[in-house]
Amino acid sequence: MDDTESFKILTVEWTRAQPAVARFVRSFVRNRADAEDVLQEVALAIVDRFESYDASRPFIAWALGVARNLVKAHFRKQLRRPITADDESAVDRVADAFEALQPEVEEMKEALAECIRRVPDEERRMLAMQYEEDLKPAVIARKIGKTANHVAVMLHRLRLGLRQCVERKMNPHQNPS
Amino acid sequence: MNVEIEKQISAYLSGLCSEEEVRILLAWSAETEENATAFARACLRDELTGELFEEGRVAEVRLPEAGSSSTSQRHFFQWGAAIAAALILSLIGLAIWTQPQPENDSSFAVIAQSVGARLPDGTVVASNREVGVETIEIAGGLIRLDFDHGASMTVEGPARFELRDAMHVYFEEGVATFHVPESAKGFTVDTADAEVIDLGTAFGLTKRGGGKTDVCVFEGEVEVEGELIRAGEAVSARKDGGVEESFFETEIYEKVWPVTSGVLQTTGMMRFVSPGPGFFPGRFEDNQHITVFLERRQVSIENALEVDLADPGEYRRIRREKGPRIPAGSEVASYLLQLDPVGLLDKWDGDKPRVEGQITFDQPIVGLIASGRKLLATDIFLGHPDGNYGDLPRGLEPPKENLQQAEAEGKDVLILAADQRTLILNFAAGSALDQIRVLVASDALPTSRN
Repeated sequence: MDDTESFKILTVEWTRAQPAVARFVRSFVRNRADAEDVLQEVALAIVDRFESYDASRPFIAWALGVARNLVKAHFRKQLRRPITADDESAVDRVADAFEALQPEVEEMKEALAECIRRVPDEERRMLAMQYEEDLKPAVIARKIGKTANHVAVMLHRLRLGLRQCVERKMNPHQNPS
Repeated sequence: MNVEIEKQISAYLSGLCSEEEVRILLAWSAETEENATAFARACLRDELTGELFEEGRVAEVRLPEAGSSSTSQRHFFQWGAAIAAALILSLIGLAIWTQPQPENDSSFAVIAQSVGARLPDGTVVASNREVGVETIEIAGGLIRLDFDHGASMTVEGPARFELRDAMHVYFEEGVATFHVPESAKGFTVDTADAEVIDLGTAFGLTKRGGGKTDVCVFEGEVEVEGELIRAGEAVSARKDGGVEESFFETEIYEKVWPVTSGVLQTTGMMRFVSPGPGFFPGRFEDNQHITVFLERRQVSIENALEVDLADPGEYRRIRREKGPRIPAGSEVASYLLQLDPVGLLDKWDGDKPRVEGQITFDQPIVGLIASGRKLLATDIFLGHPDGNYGDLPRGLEPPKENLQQAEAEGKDVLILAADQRTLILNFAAGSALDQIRVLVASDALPTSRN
């Protein structure tokens, strides 16, 4: 395969895999700027190592494999405590879970959209502040004149409600846990 | 998935977990494939929620806050383009393009209170101003900074300090107290003489030239130049690296500590003290002041709690047979206010001290407990964790047999102002210890220690 062909495959595969890899990285690297840095490192590592990619395996599994190593490397640099076997194992297991969940992501997103539209205005405003504006509960609290604890509790209840709603929509014949 | 784990994951997704809580959560995720999948699902839903808002598919509500901070900070879809661009640029040997951070990324704290604070040029310091990496200098007055991670810092001027990042302050000069919950453990204060690392606690710090920094630990532990200093201990750190034990003295922090503790102001004969270790209200005998103690910063009320008062008004009879209730699930901070005259007074003593004062909290008062029975019943979960409340009769209770006379004399008068934040007290000391427990809506973050 020549370089042009290889470049085409890499671009197509990465475009497909990038959202899943970004979601995985963000799950562990909660600081947005750090997550962006790690994601860029993943992109560069994928370019560097693309020759070693075995095309008989799903690209997303390979990309998540690269990402999990860089997430662990980020932990080693950023955590004030030593990284544990549990930390590494959690990253590996959650990466596997992300890969396994891939086929249902679009359905989950549609169900979630319907569920969020049913959330009352005031609570939806709070969700927008958290998810669209990326504000922390303490900042949201200052804006809406409530306590930070109130906001944290409300967000927890909203997440709980959304989980149950999504589960009902995706598995209409099962009782939600 | 059990309720506690789900709560913990939600706190994690809101950025409210300490490093230790994250470690525990990851250990749980690593235990089984089922746990890992539950964690992955929660994170995935969170990410998808963000994407839906970003795509404008669910934000049909007009947001009330359309100012600078409303700029979206979610960039995954921009990231997609950025990374694809990076890939292409990398393949053809060009430098990677780094997306600039939005300006509002830099704010990590807010000046939550400014009490008579002014800049060196005399300008008044406004409250509610968001701050990031910057140097702040005040010529006088007090300011309280609330950090997004839950820590708070109150500084008394003249003072000058530099906010280096959300977890690091360089303190050049002034007097300050800090409260650092678990969520901000590791918060570091540097001076020219010492590095002070907070390990989840409350402490005071004084830097007034002279080549030394004084640190006084009210609760928990801090590390000063690598030495562990515990609650009730104080040290002086010298520029040459030496750390010496010093006298535990909280007087210098009496202006700043109340502000760190959620009190906006006290006037009249009201004195806010730091309880410190081995807290024993009786040791604060004082004929001239109503003393105020912060007992707990955050308590979750498990079962509906009956109090004596909750509504604004002027009260001469405070005890209630059937008082209002604070609903289960409420989060409150508790404060003890007391008048404990020097020595024990005989009930027939004519010259009993009378003390008036006013206190304003930064959050609404949700209940007052003034009967001895209710005080005793709530000491265990609302009292200071290390408190020893003694066995003297307590509360604000005119004797039943002499109620009319006591009321006519205006023995103890309490006003809960309409703002629901201000208490005005007029106490006359008797043979019992005048005490009242004030419950205030808690603004502490869920990971706060108390």
